[in-house]
Amino acid sequence: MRIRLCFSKTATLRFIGHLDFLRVFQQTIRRADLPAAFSQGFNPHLLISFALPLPLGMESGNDYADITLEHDMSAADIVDKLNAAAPRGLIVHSACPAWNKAASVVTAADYLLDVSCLDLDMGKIDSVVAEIKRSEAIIIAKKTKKGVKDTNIRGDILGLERVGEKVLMRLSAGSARFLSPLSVAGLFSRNGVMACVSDSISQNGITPCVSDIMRTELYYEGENGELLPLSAQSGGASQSGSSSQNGSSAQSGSSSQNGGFA
Amino acid sequence: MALKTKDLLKLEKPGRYTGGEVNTVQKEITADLTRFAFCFPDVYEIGMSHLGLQLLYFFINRREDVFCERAFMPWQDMVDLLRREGEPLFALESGDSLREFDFLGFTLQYEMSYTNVLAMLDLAGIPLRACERGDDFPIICAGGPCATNPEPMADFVDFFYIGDGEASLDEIFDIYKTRTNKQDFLRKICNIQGVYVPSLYKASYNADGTLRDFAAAPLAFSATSHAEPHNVTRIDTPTAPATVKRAFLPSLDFFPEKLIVPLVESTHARAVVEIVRGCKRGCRFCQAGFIYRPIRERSTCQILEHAEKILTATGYEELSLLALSACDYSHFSELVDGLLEICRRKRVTISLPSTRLDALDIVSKIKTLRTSSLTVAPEAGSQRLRDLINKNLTEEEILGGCLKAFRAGFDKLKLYFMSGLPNETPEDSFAVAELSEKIVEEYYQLTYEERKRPVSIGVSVSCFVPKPFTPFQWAAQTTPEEFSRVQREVKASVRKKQISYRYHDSKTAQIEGVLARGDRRLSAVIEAAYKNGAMFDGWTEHFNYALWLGAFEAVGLEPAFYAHRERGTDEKLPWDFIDVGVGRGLLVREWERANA
Ligand code: SF4
Repeated sequence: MRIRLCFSKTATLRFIGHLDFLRVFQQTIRRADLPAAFSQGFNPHLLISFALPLPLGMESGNDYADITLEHDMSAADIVDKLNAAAPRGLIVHSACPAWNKAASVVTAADYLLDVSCLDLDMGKIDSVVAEIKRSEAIIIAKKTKKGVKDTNIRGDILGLERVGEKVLMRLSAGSARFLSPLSVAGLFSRNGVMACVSDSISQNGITPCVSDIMRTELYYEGENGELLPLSAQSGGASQSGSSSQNGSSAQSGSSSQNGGFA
Repeated sequence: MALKTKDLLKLEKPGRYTGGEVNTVQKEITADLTRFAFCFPDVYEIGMSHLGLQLLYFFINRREDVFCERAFMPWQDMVDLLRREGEPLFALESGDSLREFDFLGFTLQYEMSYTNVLAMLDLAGIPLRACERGDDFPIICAGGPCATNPEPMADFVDFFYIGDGEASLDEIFDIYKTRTNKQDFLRKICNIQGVYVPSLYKASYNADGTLRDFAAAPLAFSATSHAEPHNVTRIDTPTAPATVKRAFLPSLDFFPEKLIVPLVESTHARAVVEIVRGCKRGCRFCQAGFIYRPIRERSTCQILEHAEKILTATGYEELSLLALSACDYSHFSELVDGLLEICRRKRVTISLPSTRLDALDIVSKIKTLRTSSLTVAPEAGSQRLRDLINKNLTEEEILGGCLKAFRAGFDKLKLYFMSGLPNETPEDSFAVAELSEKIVEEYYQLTYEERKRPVSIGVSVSCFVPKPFTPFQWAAQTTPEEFSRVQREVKASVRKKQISYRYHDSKTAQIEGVLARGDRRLSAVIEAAYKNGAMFDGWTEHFNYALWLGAFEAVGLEPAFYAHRERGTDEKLPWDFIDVGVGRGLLVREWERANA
């Protein structure tokens, strides 16, 4: 039985990178004594696949990983056992059957950018948000394997909206298209005009840090092209088998605010 | 700790400094709680791979009235950040400055970490020298194998703890609660087995620099004696004991139920179970072989039960055993069978520390070994020299063992040797290369089909450093120049391309040798070296020989006097006042036999 876990990674866990977190998660599952499936061979590894690695320093709200269990367990049981075994900063919110592969379906992600570090009045932030949305093309210098390349990122900004002292961004994410939230964060310059056009982030001097950004949700494309959170099944069915959403207080500004995008 | 997330994220591996690992202990901090920080003078990953730290952490924390936290030497980038921000070094559990603690307990695992001890004190805003610290500073104590010759660190440490930690720590904490002040406390504990309070002793020296006298200074009367002459209250002991006996635990009963699981990759991410303390072999160069005598084994069923518990509590996917010589464990085969059964059930792999060739049959049961490489330590190349150092391994055994290892599918062997051993001749030195070549030839005993991959033999030669409480404690260490000259030649004599021959930096070995057998005058050298900028001396890329030479010069001492001088067995040695449980007579006899 393949299970999708919805969890968040916060607090001290933001200080460990993806590979360390992978190991931490595997150890948590072992401590929780879940009947998890292992790889074959002399050195068996617990099978787990993450939807999308999180950069070092960033926290996540609704994050996802798939595991395989060798026999059935109730979702509530899975969640409770994992939370009892988890280190501080890892909270498992729900478990449900996985109907697709988390690691290969992600197309978009929501991020909350804390703009309070910019020390600007919110009107200025609003004007940058409006300017970005109005623009047909936003060209930034993007680092690629072949060097720095001017890239139009406008098409990968799927939504943008200020929510209090934060800016909620929905960006392309996944293996096909990926826009770094730092690239968009870099558009908010200290004087409140869009710092833009071939300006690399480091040049405009404001550099909101990864720790000012929280990744709050991951999406895949449903049957009709709509974006669905990884915890929702395509075709309108609600979150089957999902357990109670304990710990949802830790997911500041996630799903409830997603409806804001037109 | 008040460092900004942004700044922490700029560090290499910020997870070293943020705590929050699984199985760490938290306690409510109240006024009557005794706060102890276990300080490891090296980086987090190395400290956390050290089972002794974990053992004492849980041992101390089993007491409700004491809270043991952890602190590590921060890496250079964090040192800079702390200094820039004016933040003190802190303990991981509470994030509180080390300055707030009742005790800082340093573990001295290797001499080259001594400057890191000073760095940690300094970063916490604590004066380096014990005599400069009043009652409002933490009590600095130090233990670990290097504490068997505590003298070079004598000026910095309030008391040393020599021997098994589990044996006397409780008594020390109990007395701490009844203290009136620091001096009172130190005088009260100086009679506890394993405790050495350096400030209660005085050393004097002969004109040639050797130790003339080392004795406990008479303790002063307590203050009340002046006020009430007819009711003289002497404090319990008129002088500290002339001999300090190491603390000794006759049987190993305490097993931590859990281990802290680091969040960032540590050097060895695995569950470790101590199976035996001590070693029965008695190789003449090996300090561990002497200072942990007699050997104490844990029972097989206790180990098995414990291994299972630890694996459950940690979620590790690898299990390893801690022992100086694991294969010497009385019921080794039975133990391995039991462990393999647990590991199969829990889908965990098992690894062994060092492997002896004569136990290869058992070891090859462990088919899950992650690599095809095997480590072997013949220590010396010639039979004559192996006999002289009491390494009971014949050439037939070595070659036969290697052949067996090749047959079992190992095609990478790592061979460890020492050079600069007492009475080593040029023939002995070159024998390392010859033995290595013979081992390569052994590989070609295999049939063509059996030789799946080309064999590779990694030879690593370190410079022998004589250590206290070994029969070689009187020996002259070879000089860096001599060691390098000989090793260059031996390396050039290696013909076979399957052998990669490496030798260690002998300058580090010289300083290590000085600190290992030094006296308390060296405290000034260590301090000067630290103030010159020495830190992380155990890290090749950080070790700066010139800083040390400068420090010796400034203080007016000669490294050669400590490292390269043979002592007579009638010379008074700085560590003679410590009784580690091995008779001096035995060491003298063994030394004489090696010279026969
Ligand atoms: S070198 Fe190894 S076998 Fe020899 S005494 Fe030391 S620990 Fe024991």
